[in-house]
Amino acid sequence: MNPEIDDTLWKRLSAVFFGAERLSDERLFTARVMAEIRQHQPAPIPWRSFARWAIPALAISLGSFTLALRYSLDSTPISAETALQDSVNSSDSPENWLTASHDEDEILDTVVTI
Amino acid sequence: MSAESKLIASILAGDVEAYAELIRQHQAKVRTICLGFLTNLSEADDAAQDTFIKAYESLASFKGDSSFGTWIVHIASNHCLDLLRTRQRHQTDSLDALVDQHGDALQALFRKTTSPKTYDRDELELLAKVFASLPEEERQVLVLRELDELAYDEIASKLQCSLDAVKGRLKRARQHLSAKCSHFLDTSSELPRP
Repeated sequence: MNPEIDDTLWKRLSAVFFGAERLSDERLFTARVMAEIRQHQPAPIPWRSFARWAIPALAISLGSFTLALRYSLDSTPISAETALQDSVNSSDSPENWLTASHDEDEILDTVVTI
Repeated sequence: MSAESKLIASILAGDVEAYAELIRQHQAKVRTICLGFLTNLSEADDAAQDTFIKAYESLASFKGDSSFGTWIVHIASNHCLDLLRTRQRHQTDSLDALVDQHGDALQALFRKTTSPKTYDRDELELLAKVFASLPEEERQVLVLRELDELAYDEIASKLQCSLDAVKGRLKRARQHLSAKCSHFLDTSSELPRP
């Protein structure tokens, strides 16, 4: 059998079996599918798929930023001068303690602690 | 921006009713694919409906790399193959018996010259019977090739069989249909001149 004829024949057969362009009941089918879609399906708003990854990403970013900010505030380096100044101004400094008046119990407590 | 892209953009913007136009444009091919796989008109229409609903639900993920028609045909064939894995095979008539019983109707189908080619439910039933007369393996390959327009290697991957098996099944399916139905065609005008 000539393959060229086979091919031509097949194209014509294929057009019959697979070549439907329209169907007589297409309005009915369309109405049926649309009714189903209206009843059960929410509209596929594009921001939903965007929000699916954007909201967790935003939450992670905010969390990371907050942690980084807290860490940087907690670990602010203090210079030696500032530390000395603080200890001089503090009410617990030895100079302040010596100039203040204390009763016997307080003095005894301090000695025991030392 | 193509008319199809505009239509899809308006559906995604919330115009649900615009989806009816996409259904109208693509239902003939989607329903024929489902019929080719399932060979039962009501099952095929249910599967086609499911296909359009699935496509609607995932429309936001449609990238536009291919046409909507190509995309929805892939959804339809995957859906039908899933259905076939779970359902029992139907008892069907042989192609010989079909030609004997429905010769006149087949003849009319082959001589149909309307443009666009429009099929009614009786004609779809007849097509379903023709598809059903082929072995399922041959029918699947034929539908994937003719309607889904897949390459041989893509069909092999989808059906999990070898490339040679795909070629063999396709050849046999075409031979079966040609042998039984080609006489319905008026082939005199198609013969090449010596």
